[in-house]
Amino acid sequence: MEKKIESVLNSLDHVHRAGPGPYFFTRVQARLNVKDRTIWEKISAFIAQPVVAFSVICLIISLNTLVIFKGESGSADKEQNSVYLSEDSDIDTIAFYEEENNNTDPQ
Amino acid sequence: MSEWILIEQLKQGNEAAFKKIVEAWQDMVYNTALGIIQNAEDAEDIAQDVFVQVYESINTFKGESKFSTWLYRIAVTKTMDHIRRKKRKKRFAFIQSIFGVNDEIAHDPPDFQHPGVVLDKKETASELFKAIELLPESQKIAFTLNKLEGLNYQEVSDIMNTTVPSVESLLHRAKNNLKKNLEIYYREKYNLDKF
Repeated sequence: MEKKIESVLNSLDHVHRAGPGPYFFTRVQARLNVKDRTIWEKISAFIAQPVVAFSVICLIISLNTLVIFKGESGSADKEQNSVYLSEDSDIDTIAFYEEENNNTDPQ
Repeated sequence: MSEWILIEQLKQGNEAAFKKIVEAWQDMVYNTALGIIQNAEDAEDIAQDVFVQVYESINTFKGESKFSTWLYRIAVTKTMDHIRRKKRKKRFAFIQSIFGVNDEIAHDPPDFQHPGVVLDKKETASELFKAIELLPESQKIAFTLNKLEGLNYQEVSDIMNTTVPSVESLLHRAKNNLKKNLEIYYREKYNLDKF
């Protein structure tokens, strides 16, 4: 077994260097040309990726939902506050107008 | 043409100089990547990335080290980055499969055969590469640079930015780990109770 393992460890002796396929430089040049795209082309390419586009759409929908729900709860809060106010200060609309009329009535 | 003249011309953006540099060093870069990553397609991909980086960052090469040392460092770094990206993708695919999103069947890659190995040693070399695959990162790099690229301890230490004694230690541990891995492999293969 030790002899076998030793021979395996030496199996890379006299190994030749492997090389890439033909026209390697052409492929390197092509990759460099892709990198020379303008910033707008890069941004468009990034946004066009399905994962990115889908994530942005989800984010927009979430934000819209948040704004809508916040808006609804805000108006509900305002109504509740006006009820509390009127209860606290014992003001209601009819009483207010009666007082107004009493004040403006010359008699 | 002298290497330094080519480098100076490349710094001026000379395409012909770049072509000569690529042709002179492509085998070295490819072979280094191939030895570590053990996949021809990935090695080709990495080699292209290496030369793109050389083109873009040649002005950062100050000549403090040999050009080949600088090139080896880029090749090793790009190869390790590629391996880490692949591992992340595998983890993500595994998580997807838990949720039933990814139904792709995982294929076992075929045994790696280095094209530069002599014919009568191809099978044993293939078994050795399996064992190399299991080595920790730094031992794998040191072993590949020393055995596959034929670099001496000083050259390996320059590339790995470490000392010669560290490289000696790495190679010693790599050899011990390879022996251990091969013993386990052969014990399982031949169903041996003891060796």
